[in-house]
Amino acid sequence: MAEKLSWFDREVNATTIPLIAFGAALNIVMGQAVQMIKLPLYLDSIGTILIACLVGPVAGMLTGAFANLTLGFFFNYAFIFFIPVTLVIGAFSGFVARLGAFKRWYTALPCGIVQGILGAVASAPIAAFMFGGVTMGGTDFLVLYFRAIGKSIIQSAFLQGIAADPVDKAASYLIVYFLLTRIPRTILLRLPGYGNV
Amino acid sequence: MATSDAFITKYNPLHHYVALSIVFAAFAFKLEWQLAILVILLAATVISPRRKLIYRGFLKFVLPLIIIGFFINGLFFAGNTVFTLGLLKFKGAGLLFASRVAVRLVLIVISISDYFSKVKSETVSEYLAARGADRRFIYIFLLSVAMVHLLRDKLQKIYVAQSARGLDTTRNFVTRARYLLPLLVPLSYSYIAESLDRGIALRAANFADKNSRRTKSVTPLLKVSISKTGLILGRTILIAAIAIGASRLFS
Repeated sequence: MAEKLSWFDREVNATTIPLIAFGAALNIVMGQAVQMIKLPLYLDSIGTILIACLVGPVAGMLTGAFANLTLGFFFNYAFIFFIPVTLVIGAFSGFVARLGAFKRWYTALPCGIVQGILGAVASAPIAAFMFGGVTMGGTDFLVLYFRAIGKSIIQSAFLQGIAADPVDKAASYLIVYFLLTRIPRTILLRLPGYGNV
Repeated sequence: MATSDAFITKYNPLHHYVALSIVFAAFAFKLEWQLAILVILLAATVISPRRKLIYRGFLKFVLPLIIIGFFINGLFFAGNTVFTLGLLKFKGAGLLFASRVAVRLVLIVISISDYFSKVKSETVSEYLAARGADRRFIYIFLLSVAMVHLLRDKLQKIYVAQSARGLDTTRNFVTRARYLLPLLVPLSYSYIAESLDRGIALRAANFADKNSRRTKSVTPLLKVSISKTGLILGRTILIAAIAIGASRLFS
């Protein structure tokens, strides 16, 4: 009789391990792609969302965690502290993908906005207490603005996240949706999350 | 089977236990203790042969963060003004908060960068494997590091090809956003297909099966010789740091 696999083993196996590594690398490389196109967005969760949709939430969480670990190891240590945020993104994307969020663009868009709000909730305490609200991102001036109008450090970090993240995540969800529509079915059929697309 | 000395690397776990203890201290210790550790750490960094690397990382990532943190928190915290710089009025509470954040950041960054500058990623991977860490995680980490360079090269080639076909980055926001797809689709398509093929190869090698004889008999490329003195000393330092932090919490 076949051994019953845990949820973790089902999503992290020999077939999916290279996909998770690809997703982590894609997250990192997206920074370069965004610079090439000169877009005022981060889009640094596309790999996480893609793998969460194609494999599942655990794989999505691992993708985000390894992307930040690699970024922290080689580029900027600050990324390591934001691993909890990537876990939230991976878990939520995998969950909504199973509910069919990536089957139509008009379901992907609102899920992206909700994802942005969740991401802001998860990142605000880290940004506030670990970095004093400053992360050297382009949105630091928003923290400055919210501090200037009398908000506390945690409120400012949260409001900055709310102002920037939903747009970024909605764009990421839409890009992943359009990406999935353009990848041939012959490839998608070989993936565990084929039913999510 | 005898292993050639060329494949034996020495690993002293004292480095990572000290780094872990400092990260713990950065969160759990009193500010005065943190400052004392910082002074020792800075003195150790000055005589370290890797100081250039550490200073470069510090100047590039941490110093701007600290300066902006002092301005944002010093100017916009509620409380009494402690000094003025032209029109700018800095508040005492804000500067204190910024100082705490700055000390914490400097402690964490110097300890981590010092550790990473001493140890190669391959050695850490082999060490983790030797200590029973899940091979899947180690493989994902090493593969993702390797893939970043491959993906960057591929992306650059696709960008050049798409530019030749008329990709214009001077147009409006929506059009530029749409230009991401001609870059991402070929990149994802080729690497998803390649990852699936790599997955087949891993399955054929019974990679993720913990019970397979083949997995158990795999010999690592490097043999790691772990320093016992470093291990005991490192663990003692970490336990002492946790005890000091915990005593502060419960006092």
